[in-house]
Amino acid sequence: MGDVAFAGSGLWFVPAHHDANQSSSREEVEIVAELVRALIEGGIRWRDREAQEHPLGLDDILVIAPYNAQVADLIARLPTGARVGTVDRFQGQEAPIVIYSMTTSTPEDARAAWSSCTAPTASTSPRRAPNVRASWWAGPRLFRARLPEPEADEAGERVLPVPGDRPGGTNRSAGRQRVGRCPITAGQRRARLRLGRVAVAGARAYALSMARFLVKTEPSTYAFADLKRDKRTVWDGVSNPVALKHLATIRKGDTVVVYHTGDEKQAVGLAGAVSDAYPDPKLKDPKRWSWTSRTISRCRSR
Amino acid sequence: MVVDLAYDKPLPKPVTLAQVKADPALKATDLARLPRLSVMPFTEAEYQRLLRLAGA
Repeated sequence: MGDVAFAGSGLWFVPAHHDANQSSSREEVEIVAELVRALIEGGIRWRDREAQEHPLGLDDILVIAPYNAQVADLIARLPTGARVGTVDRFQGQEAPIVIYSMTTSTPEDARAAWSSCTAPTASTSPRRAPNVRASWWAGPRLFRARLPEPEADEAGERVLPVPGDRPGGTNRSAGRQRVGRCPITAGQRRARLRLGRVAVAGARAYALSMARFLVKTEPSTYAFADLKRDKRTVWDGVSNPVALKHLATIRKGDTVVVYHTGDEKQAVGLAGAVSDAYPDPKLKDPKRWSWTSRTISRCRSR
Repeated sequence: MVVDLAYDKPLPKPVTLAQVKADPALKATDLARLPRLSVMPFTEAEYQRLLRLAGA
């Protein structure tokens, strides 16, 4: 616990020794509580995907456990307002720090944990990776478990390689993902590789699946009431390069807050993106076309 | 660039720029800092805070 000040991004595993825990673990509740306290009181800053720095607060930490009993214990122990829940509850949410309390002591009890870890891998993509920090708290004996493979994940996204250890030569993407710095014994490495597949998939799912935006409009030109009447519209007329850069990152399913400029200066309503951002079909300016095409390739490159 | 937007719902109470600038959790956002920027990302925490100010 002394080494709370993890720097950079990556996935950390920290062992929590305990026996006979099934759906709740006092030991992990205490460790998670101490970690959360150290993180929010440590004057830590984090950098978002726009490279802006923010002080780390309670809102920036997601605490996830596979069982409702553990979630209830964590809520009782952590400060009021902490974001604690099961995998199902947090699917689609994001946070710079995700703490996963594995809860169970032994592989025999862990089947529910594995299935809930692998469930949220669907429909995520790495295109918006912010600086993700995932902490992984578990009883070390869990590493002896044989884990089911996450299904239908993209090749190259699955394996958490351990430096200096090649997983049987079957994984050509080794080295791409960053790995935790917590020292582990050689005996834990192989099992950790398997666990890592689940861990990376889970952490990505929380961090990457949906984004929030705010768009401004002059209500005398096109007001939120006009959107209500039209039900759906093409949001065009954005010309500022920085605004266009942000607009280009909007994807189908993202939430968009609509804000009225002019005399009102207030956020008035919510809309949803029903398409990905795409080049304005009305614009023929070759410069702008070339700018947008460059942006698309950068956003979607892996 | 353009994007297709669909109406969802109004905020229970509008959130004014003055509220955003006065809020410790939102005063560092692009909305408070860059008055001329018309499209900007929000973090999940900022978004949730905005909803709370809106009474949602």
